[in-house]
This record gives sequence, C-alpha cells and structure tokens, in this order.
Amino acid sequence: MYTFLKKNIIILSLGIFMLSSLFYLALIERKQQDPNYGKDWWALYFENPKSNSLDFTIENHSGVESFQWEVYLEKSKTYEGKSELPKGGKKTIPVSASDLDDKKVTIRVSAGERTQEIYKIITND
Amino acid sequence: MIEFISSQILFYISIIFLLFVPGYFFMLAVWGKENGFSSIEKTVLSFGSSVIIVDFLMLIMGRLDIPLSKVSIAGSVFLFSALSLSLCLIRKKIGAFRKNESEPKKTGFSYFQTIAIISILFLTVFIKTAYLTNTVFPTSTDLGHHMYWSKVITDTEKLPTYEESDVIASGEGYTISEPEAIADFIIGEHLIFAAISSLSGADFVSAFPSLILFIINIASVLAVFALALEIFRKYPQGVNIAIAVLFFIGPIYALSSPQAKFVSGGVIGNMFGNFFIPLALLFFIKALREKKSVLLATAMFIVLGLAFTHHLSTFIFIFSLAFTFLLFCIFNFKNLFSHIKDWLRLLFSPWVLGVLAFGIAMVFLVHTPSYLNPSAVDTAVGTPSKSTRTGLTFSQLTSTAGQARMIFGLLGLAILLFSKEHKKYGSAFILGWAVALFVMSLKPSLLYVDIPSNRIASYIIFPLAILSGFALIRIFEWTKNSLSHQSLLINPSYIIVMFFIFAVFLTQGGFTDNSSSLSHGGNTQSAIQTFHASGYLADFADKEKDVVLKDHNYLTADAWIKLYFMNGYNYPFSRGFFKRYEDPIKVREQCTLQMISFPSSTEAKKCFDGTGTNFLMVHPQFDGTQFRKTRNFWQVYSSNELTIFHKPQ
Repeated sequence: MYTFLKKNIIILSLGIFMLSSLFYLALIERKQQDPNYGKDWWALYFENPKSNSLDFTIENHSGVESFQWEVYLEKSKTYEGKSELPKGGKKTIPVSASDLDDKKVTIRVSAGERTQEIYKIITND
Repeated sequence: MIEFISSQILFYISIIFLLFVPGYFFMLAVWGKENGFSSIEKTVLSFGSSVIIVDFLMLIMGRLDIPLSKVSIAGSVFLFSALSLSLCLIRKKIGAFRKNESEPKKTGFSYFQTIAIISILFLTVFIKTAYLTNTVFPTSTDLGHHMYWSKVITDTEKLPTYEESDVIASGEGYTISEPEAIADFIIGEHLIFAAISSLSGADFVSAFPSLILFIINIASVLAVFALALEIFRKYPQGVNIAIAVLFFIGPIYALSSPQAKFVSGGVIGNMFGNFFIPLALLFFIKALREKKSVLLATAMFIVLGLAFTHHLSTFIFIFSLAFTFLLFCIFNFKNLFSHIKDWLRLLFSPWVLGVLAFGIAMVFLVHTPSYLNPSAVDTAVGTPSKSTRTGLTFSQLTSTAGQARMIFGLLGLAILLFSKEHKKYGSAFILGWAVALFVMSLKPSLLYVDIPSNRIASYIIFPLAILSGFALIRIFEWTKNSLSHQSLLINPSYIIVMFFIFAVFLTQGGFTDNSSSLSHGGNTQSAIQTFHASGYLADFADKEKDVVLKDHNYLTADAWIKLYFMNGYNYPFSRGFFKRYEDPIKVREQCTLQMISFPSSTEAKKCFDGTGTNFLMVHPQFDGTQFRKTRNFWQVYSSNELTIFHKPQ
C-alpha cells in the first residue's frame, strides 16, 4: 500500500484536486441554474401563445412580491388587480372577454419599478 | 441535496467507467501490468485511448444499427474491457509481454520535485477552478452547437447526420431549403458527451460538458509534462526541465486561449487536439527511441482517434510530423540510411500494419469523417482566401502565446538548435512541432494553408512551453556552472540577479494574464431567462407547422435554445451578427435580418410568407419596438431580457 501511494502520489493528488474542483463547480452551477438563487427577474406570459385565450401567468423570481396587473382593451383599462407572489411563486390569472374582433388586448403588469406587457390582437375568423 | 450527491456520484462513476477503464484494460492487453510506463504516462494513455475506444465502439454499433442506448454503451465498454483483460491474462501466460515491455524508466522524482509537481498541479487546478466558477454555466455559442449534436445521439440513439436547412431565395420569394450536409462537425467531438450523458443521465444544459472539457484540459497539461519528461529523459536536469515545462503550461497563462477559456467556450475539437497531439508525439518519440513497433502502433492509433475528432488538429499534426521528418533528415543526413532502415522495420510490423488496416476499415467501412470531402479539403488547402488567413504579425503571435513564453520559447529553440542534442529524436520532434506552427501562423501561404491564422496560433503554446522550460533550466544550469568557475568576466552575483529577474518576469506576465481573464460575474441571470422562454415556447411549438427565429446579437446563450426544440440544427433560425449580412465575399440570405430588424418591410413580408416564420425571440429593449408598432404580431411572453412575438397565420 505504501509503495502504491508513493508511486502514484502525484496522480492521486491530482485526482483529489480534480474531484474537489468538479464537485465544487457542479455545486456552483446547480445554484446558478436555480431561477431564484441570487436572481432578480420575473416573467409574464400567456397561458397559450397560439390560441385566443387571454389567461396569463406571472412568474416571480425577483425580490419584489407585490404585482399589480391591468387589462386594456385597446387603450381603455377594463380590469385590474393585485397579486402577492413570493420569490419562486407563479400565478395564472384568467381573463374572459367577448366582442374582441380586431381589438388589441394588452396585459400590463407592474412590480416595483419595472413594468412589462404582453398583448394579443384577436380576430374572430 | 441527496439527489444532487447521488447524481454526482453517478456522473463520476460514468467518467471513470468511460474515460479510464477501457483504455486501462487496453493498455494491459497490449503491454501487461509491468509495462515500464510511469503512473503519469499510464494515466494519460488510459484516458486518451478510452476516449478513442468509446468513440470507435459507438461508431461500430451505429454502423451495425445497434441503438446507442445506455445498455449498449455500457455493455460494449464492459465487454471490451473484459476481452482486453482476458487477452492480457492469456498473453501473460504465454510470456508475450517480455519482448514488448517498454524500456524501464528511471524518472523517479525526489521529495522536493514531488512537492513542486503537486504544488504546480494544485495551483493549476485552483486558478482554472476560480475562473470557471463564473463561466461554467452553459452559455457559450460553440458548446451549445456541439451539445445539440450530442443530444441528437442521446435522443435518437443513432449516429447523427450532420445537415441543416437554411433560408434560400425561391423565385420572387424565399423558402426553407431541404437539409444539406455540413462539414463543420466531426463525430468524435460529440460521441463521448453523448455516452456520458446516456450513462449518467446528466443534462446537456448544465455544467457537465464544461467539466468534461476541464478534465481534457488538465489531461493535456499532464500529457505535455509526460512528453517533456520523455524528451529530456537523458538530460542531467531532465526532470527539472519537465517541472519547469509544467509551470509554463500549468498555472501561468492558465486561463487564456486555448486553456480555461476554451473550456468554458466549448472549443471541443481544439481541446481534444491539444491533448492528443502531445500524447501522440510522446509515443512516436518512445517508438523511435526504443525501436518498438507496438509503441509506433499506439502513436498511430492515437492519431487515428485524433482524425475522427478534429480536422484542424490532425492537419497541424501532419504538418508538425512533416517538419520533424525534414529537420531530422537534415540533422542526421550522414546516418540517414540506417535510420530509414529502422523506420521501415518499425512500419512493416504486424502491430503497425494492423492499426493501419483498422484505420482504413474505420474510414471506408464504418464511418467517413465529414471533412473528408473535396469541398472541405478545398476550404483548408490553397492560397489564403481571407485577410484572417494570411498570417499573424509577430506581435499578434506573441500576444497569443504570452510574452514571457514567447521569449523563453525562442531562446529554448535557439539553444536546442545549436546544442549537440539537436540530432536526437526528442529535439527533432519539439523543433519540428514549433517550427511548423511558427510557419503556419506567420506565413501560411508558404505551406498553402488556408485556415484562420489565429486558430492555428493557439496551438503554439504547447511547444513553446516545452522550449521555455528547457531554456529556463538551461540558463539556470549555466548560471550555476558559472558560479563554480570564478573565471567569468561578469560578476556571478549579477547572473543570479538576472536569473531571478527572468523568473519574476515570466511569472508576473503569466499571472497578470490570468488576473485580466478572471471575470467578476457571469451572465447566468440572462441565460436563465433564455432557457425559461425556450422551455415555454417548446411546450407549444408544433414541430411541423411553427417556425421560430431568434436573435444572436443580444440574447444570451441563444445557441442553447435549439436543445429545447430538438427540431434541426437550424431550428430556431438565427439573426446572426450584423456584419455577416454585409460580407462582400460570401453573400448571405437577408431574411433572418429583415424579419427581426424590419418586420414591416416588403422584403420581410415575403420572408414571413415564404418561410412560415411565426415566432420570434428577441431582446425587449433592442428589438421590441419595431414589432409593437405593427398590428401583425402578438407579444406573448415577456421577461427582463427576452420577449417572444407571435405572428398569427
């Protein structure tokens, strides 16, 4: 055993360095993959991007927890509401509307100093 | 956390099983247990031959239509290892190893040398790890492209067909072409990643590809060290020269290209090339010195593996070998005939002919590397066609190699050239390797090389590191000798001061380069948003009907988006760098530019109609406005760094 260690001490040491390094890097990257860990962003999207459905989702990965949402039909506000979302939280808000032919429906969401919007222009073919 | 640890254990077991086991047993089958190799040589040879063996096993299985699944990959590696072990035992029984034993080595390290080597390796790994902490996250474009093909292998359990569709003009409008072959990728760059992912279940969009490249990078450092030990084996200060080489290739300039930056940058082919080239040279030198055909066959087997992995590295290796041959012939002109006789004896041996036959069978019966077609050869050979291919200036080359390494490397080259050892195989190989790369980088037109000069130049650091280590120790040796002979005109204390100035100069230069390469933080937040949006769209996109276009200029990690769709190498299509659309030599399609930059233009409308593009992934600040101005698009997804527009049909 002693002879084996003596003969291979360089390779064994390198193996230990590499193993520690790889494990550390994998651990770091795992944290980086976490959408919440050390991150500050949030996303707004339609539940279905292709259909006429206006249901939308807010996904929070930021430190802000209070989200205010507004629904506009062209330029007039038709709905509004507030949602509390902790970091990592996600909420789908249903929106129903009729007589939307060729009208732009905009969802505007504000949180802290940031505002984002999404919209659809529904044509009832 | 338990899940993470178990996945890590599985990952390391997969690495050992695929990257060390088959090569180790192969080594046993060829040389037996008492083979005369040092533990460093055994490690690099086990690793190198494992990569090649796994590649060849997967290629053969792919050719035989055996699905490249977890079971078949693990089974074939296990079977190969078991057969190799059986062969080893049979050969041992019949006494076959005695005549094939490599010359016993006397490269035992002293206590202080061992400490120095371990310290240098620790520093090397530590510096690279510090750099990778902020760059290991999968964002690089090259790595994204490569991992697409590896994922194709894992998903389909078949060898990939390297082809892509493109936007092309069709009459008055535009359309998407039928898939056409691409010669940019070589199968060996992708198989090993596919095998590791299959066995360990590691996700491609993770640190795992960079971690494998990190292992390859450290293996190449070790291979250069082993090569230096072999080259300077007979020198009184041989081990110290090799340790100096390890210092030049390890901790200093540890991050600049082609080292850690290529790890996070995903330059897979170069990384493999920088490992296989010194490994092959090591066995060429051993074969010629010890006059053993089995060693030459090993060297050729490694070159065969290189040829299935990276065309540029193979090309450079061939030139290096040609220069070595030329220099050796010039240096040994008087005894050339006896050397040629030795070479022919080595070449026409069952081992070498066996490897040659195996190589021919692999190329013609199993898998022909994609670059072996006339158009790919035309693009690499000929009069340099672009300004980037006409050679670097000496100062550009110095900046690539590192100033200290260039100065000491040139000194080493001159010392070796004018020393009595220049006739030896080791010297001829290192001189041939370095001179070939100097000519290819500075004056490629002399050799009819038509490859981007900066890519060739990145290879020069390896021979320069060896020459630098040699120069440093030789100067130290002279200094030491001059101190014992007081008859010098210069005061010996001046010489000592000069030596330490040299040492500080090269250390400072190398570490300054390291510190300038360290980044303060990664762009993981942007990349996470790209991945999130990609996952969202991939859930809804119909692979037959929906066509996605994304931007490469402002989106982070956009090359990885295709891994979420797995619907072709060019899916989503990409708006490339703006300058590409203005290239006067290669006129490119303009649709991908028009559809994002000017979506309301007549040309863009034709492009939308012809290609069926109906989803666009762009940066909200840089490219959102032009879409919001029209009523032809829906904005369906929005985050800080990425927004998706949909064009309803």
